[in-house]
Amino acid sequence: MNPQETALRFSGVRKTFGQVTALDSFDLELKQGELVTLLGPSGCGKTTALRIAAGFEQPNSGSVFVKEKDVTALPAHTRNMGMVFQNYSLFPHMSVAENVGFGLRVRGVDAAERDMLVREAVGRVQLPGLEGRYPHQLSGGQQQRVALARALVFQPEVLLLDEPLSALDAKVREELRDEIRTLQRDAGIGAIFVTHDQDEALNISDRVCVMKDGQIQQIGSPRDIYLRPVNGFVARFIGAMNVIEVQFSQQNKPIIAGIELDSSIVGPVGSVAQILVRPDAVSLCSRGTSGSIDGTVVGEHFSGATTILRIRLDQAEVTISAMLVSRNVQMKVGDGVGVTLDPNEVLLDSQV
Amino acid sequence: MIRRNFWSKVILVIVAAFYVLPMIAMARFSFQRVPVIKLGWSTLGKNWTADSLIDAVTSERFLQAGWLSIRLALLSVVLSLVILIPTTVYVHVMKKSARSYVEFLSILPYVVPPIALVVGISGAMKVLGTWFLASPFSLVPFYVIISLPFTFRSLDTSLGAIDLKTLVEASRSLGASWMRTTRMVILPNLKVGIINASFLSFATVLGEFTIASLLLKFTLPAYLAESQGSNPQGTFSVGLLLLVVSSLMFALMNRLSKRKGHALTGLTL
Repeated sequence: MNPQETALRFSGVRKTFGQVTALDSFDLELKQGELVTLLGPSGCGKTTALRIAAGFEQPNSGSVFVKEKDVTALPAHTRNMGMVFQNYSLFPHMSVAENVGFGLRVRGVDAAERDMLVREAVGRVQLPGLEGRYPHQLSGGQQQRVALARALVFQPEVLLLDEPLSALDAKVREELRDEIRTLQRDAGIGAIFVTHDQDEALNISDRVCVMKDGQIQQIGSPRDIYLRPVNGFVARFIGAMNVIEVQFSQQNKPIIAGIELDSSIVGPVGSVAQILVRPDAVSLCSRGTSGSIDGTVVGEHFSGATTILRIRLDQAEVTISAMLVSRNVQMKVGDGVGVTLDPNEVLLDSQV
Repeated sequence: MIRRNFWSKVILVIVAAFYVLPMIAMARFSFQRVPVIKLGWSTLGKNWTADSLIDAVTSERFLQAGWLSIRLALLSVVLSLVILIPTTVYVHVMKKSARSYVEFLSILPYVVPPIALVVGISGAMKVLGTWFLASPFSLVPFYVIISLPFTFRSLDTSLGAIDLKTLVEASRSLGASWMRTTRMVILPNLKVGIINASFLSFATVLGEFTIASLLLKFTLPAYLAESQGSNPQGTFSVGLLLLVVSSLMFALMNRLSKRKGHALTGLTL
């Protein structure tokens, strides 16, 4: 495996369904051993992109390459890609062993070798001894493990995962998420992971590709996407975000509730705009501290390690959230506080 | 709980009586050499004989009609499956939105009376080719149509519990061609539906009278109608035989279907 080698590449892919453009000028390169997540709201084109890679949909224009070989015109069954579906994809009339061995059987691997590879694969997904069971005798999590083993056992060029965890409950989802990552890394296979769950995307990916209306909004590491979103859509879609209306001062600086914010954001004098700031970039101090905005705590949402405080600003019609480490929270609902925003973390909303 | 058990048994007995009593009456009428007026409790054990049945089933008219009916039934089953398996797979895999239209078409034979069907088709065929209606096998397309409500539904229900589209895609992504996917994934999952559809359309054809008689074809039901006057005992014995055979067929069909946990659902005759 050469990590610099391209495993899969989309080049200018466009796909329409009737009047709807599902995917437009889609360019994405997946390296060997890399896991890229396609993330976005439903209808953003992420599943369409995956289905085009798999060969289930034909693009209207553009091409798909596997290791620089153009596969756009190849039928699905010749593409040598492992795919895991959302659910119910195991063959109900076949045992676990037969399901996992399906790809090997189709490839003409003889029974003895198949048995050995299947047993190995079933062991790797933590289900040894269940080879004889049928899908309806397995839990949802176990079924997805079998589907994963089935997709990996024949050493595909690329692993395609279509929301494989979304039908599972939270605990299993987390476990399996980590296992998918480990297995994919061990196998050294490039993987495309489709999800609408941002936590999942941030957790599992080398890179995240955020999509909206068939277009890529931003591709970057999870850290980049969270901390340096390129536009308002990405900023709002990933994590929580405070949206605050500001007016620009004589010095072209944003003013919130009469306080001028010392940030790099500038705008024409007197114009109104929205700025975005994450709850974890909001800090609290005592009321009246210079440079802080006065407010009152109106809500408290405790979630273990962290607590979200809802603060209503006295001089502006807006309530913002501040995320604090629970141990350090000394305020309660009704208390007056001073609010400061980390000037380096404030973004101007490009989305009107 | 006990009460409910008791009542459900009572109902079961009533239903069983409704089904079995006429069969016993038929059996006595057919197989006892006793004048009808004397058929009572006292003559229950008297003069039982299978002569009437043996005579009937060895008669040339019966054999002729029976052989035709069996061939028609088999051909209808084959033609139904050839048309409906691809259709059902198509609506489940390629175009889910077409399913409701196909379902609507499949129940049309319930509401279109056979006479309308015959008049319509024979009118068209008189222009297009009279040879078609001359052959007794011209009944096959009619039979495929009238058994549509059963055949389509059997195949459709057998796919109801699974997501065939995803299974087909999984199979394709694992490297199986369409041919192979059909053989290894689609047909095994349709098995129960195919068995049910075959039995149901076979039974429908064996019992169909209206169309055969309108088109003057001599099938088993036509034989029964014909011989009713001349040999009532023989006719009833053959009728009873058909009833028993088809009951056994349905029992067998249910047994075969249940093996995979699919009971025969949503189907009534």
